[in-house]
Amino acid sequence: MPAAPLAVILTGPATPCRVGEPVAISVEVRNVSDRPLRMVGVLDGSEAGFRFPRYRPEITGPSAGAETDSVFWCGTVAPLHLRDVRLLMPGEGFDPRMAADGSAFFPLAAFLGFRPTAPGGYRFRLIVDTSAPAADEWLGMPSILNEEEIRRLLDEVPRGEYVSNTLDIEVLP
Amino acid sequence: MSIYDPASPEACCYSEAMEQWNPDPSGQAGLPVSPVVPGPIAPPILRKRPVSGRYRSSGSPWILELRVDTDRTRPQKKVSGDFFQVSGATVSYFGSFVVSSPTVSVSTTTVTITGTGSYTYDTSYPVVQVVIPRTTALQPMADATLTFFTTGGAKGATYVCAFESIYFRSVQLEQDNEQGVTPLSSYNTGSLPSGGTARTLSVASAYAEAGVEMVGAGTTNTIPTADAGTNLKWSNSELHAGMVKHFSLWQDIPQWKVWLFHAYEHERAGLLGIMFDQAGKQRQGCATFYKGLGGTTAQKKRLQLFAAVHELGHSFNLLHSFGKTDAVPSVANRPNALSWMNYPHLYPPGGEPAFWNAFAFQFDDPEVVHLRHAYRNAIVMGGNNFLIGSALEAIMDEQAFAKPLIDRSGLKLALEAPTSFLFGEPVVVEIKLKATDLSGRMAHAQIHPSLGYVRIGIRKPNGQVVAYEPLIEQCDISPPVRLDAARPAIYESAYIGFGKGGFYFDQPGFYKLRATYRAPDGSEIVSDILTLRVRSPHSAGDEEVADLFFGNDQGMLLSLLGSDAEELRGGNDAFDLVIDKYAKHKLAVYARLVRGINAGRAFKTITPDKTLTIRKPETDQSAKDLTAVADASDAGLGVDNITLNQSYRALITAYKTAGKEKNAKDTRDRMVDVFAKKGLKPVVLQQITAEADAALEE
Repeated sequence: MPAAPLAVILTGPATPCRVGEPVAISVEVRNVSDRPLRMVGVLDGSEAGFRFPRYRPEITGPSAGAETDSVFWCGTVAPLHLRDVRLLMPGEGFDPRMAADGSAFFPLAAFLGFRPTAPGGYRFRLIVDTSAPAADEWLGMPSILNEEEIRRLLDEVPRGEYVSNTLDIEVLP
Repeated sequence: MSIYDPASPEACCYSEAMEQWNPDPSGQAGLPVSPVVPGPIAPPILRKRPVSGRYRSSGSPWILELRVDTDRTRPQKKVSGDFFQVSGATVSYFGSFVVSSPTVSVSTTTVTITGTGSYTYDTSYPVVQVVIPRTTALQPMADATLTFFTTGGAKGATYVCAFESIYFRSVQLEQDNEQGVTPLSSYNTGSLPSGGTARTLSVASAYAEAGVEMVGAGTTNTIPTADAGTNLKWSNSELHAGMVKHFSLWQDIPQWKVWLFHAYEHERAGLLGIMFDQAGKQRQGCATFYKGLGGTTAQKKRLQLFAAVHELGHSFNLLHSFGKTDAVPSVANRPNALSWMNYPHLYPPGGEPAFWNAFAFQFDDPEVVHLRHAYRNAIVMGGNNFLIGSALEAIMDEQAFAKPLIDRSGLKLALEAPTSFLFGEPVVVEIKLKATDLSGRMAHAQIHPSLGYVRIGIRKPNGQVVAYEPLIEQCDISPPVRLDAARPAIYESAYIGFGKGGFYFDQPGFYKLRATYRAPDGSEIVSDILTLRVRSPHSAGDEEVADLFFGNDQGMLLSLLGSDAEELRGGNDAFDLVIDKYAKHKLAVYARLVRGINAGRAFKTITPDKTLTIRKPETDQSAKDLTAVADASDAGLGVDNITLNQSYRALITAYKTAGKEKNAKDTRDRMVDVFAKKGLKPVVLQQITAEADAALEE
């Protein structure tokens, strides 16, 4: 089985975490293949799961799994831009949440909004899903600017499901 | 001059002789008029009514729909209009205009609004004057008389427009629901903590607050789930087909009619709403999904209302608060907006709980401007495709860059800055307001953009035009000053790199800046365009330093000139790292400036248990950092003159606070000496010396 071309790497905060405080998680998607490839960061709709690439954060622990069905996700999402389809050279990584070079990626709301309410051990994981072959599931809107070029670049995104390392974080009272 | 210019004199609906004629307005729609009650006559209530609302002319060949927005609820200080061309028995839309910064003068008898408009069509008569007699609550609303003029003052066409409604737009809303779905009727905004007055809101009343009348219309249908296909979930194409089939008012034309469908589930899991109509004549239909929204808790009812108003907002061509850059032309994102068009869980200052606690259940101001004044095709359902023209302010900004205003104010506004900046370097501009008429002109004593008199537009390298929005808006209570031969100019230094729109200089390339200043007499003075370049990083060190400056915390710290706030600790850490690791880098001087000024002052913090703690000035740290700023500036690698002045004065104050009088005096002398060597005009040097002395004597 060939090695996965993308690695998803989570890094925890350097200082101890405490109840009620945000947990600063660093996210990197890195090209671990020996050739250039393309990747797209977190888009409007990526975390909700109705648009590719899908970014699915997972948190388990004493106070994880709080009700999330009140989160408002709208399907009228922004179009995909040429600048959103990033070129990654071998060994190069990027934070898929951070706007750079004109791209407008989104934070991961599950990580951003998580404040542990109970002390204990927590586990964090991120699953990045690029498996949809059809560009339509990525574009966001019909008839977008530079559509033909964007479709061509999307062909260079490695399709698959990439699971990050599991990050264990101890939350103190 | 063309007959296809409705502002030209030839286009007049009313001849000069008819100008005196006013139709009996008693039969006009509008605010209800109180009936006359027989009996003792109470003293009349002479309070005058607001004049804002929608007016309409009659006749041919032109009909004008005029929207006046100068008082009443959340006035946006704008006038706009749509022209319709009458030909035989047909009426067709011709074009729109908006006056974005009119002068409004109110006398006891009339409201007069004057300004230069932006137009969707070419006109030789761009200046608009609207005159509306003021009436009391016992009188009907008066007509508005609009007259066009050339910039030279020659009179064009005049339109007399009868008052039609307090609402700027009127839209027919047809709502259908899927079988088994009970849609929301209203929500009491006091049911849960919020940022506004508690009130009961429906979709219609939420839009009414923005000035848009939503009139229930059409036939309310219950749509069988079978219409969603075999999977019983709605795809966008099935929603579109459902709209065509069940929206009884639907036609594939631009019209003020919209369909809101309360469905159960979209085929894309987790989705709670969508404006699905993005084919053909777009934006005529939207849907909400009750698999996720359904329920009777206050949270669910709040979300139901939010989803419905939000999706209908897309039908009006409003974009997400965090996605405004997709507007064509583009405008800056407003992720911090407390608006129906935001995502509560992505609200940067604290996520969903903070959003709901602060949300007043309304659109933000630029969205209200769009709803009331957007060019017709940019908002009417079935008009422009989604995204096109969705930000009126961007269109007006574009036009402002293209068409400088005529200026007879006797004042000149100028922007100055270095010709280039390193990537990540804080962009500071000097703003200079000078009297060209030295017999004297009144001006505001302070012209920092945070006071609101000066606005700065920025055209980015990618063509996007954004308005700099200061992080904090301040009130100014200082009296105006006279600019004359004795004091010909005032200066201000403003850090404009970061504001409500985030970082404005976040990409290498050429930027064009233009400022406008609103003088006390209402004159709008426009600066020349200032071009500056943000250079690409040359080294890995440049890249890392830029990364250490491009953080929201750092932007806040630069705007505030430092803070001890715990939530900005990341920014202070980044600046400490710049100073430690890149002490000789040009940008380190800004990190030192922020740290030095903050260290030199006491900082009060309220702890979570409501205890006030005061951190005393750290004079040694402040002196060390600010001396480094002064040294770098003396070597030509520091900050601009006005910031340097501020830095010196902060250093004098820090020494004084520590009781180091000699150091304070030496710093005062050095400050005066440094500026004396810069070859400044005597009057400017005199002012700087006075400021140095004042700092020493505080």
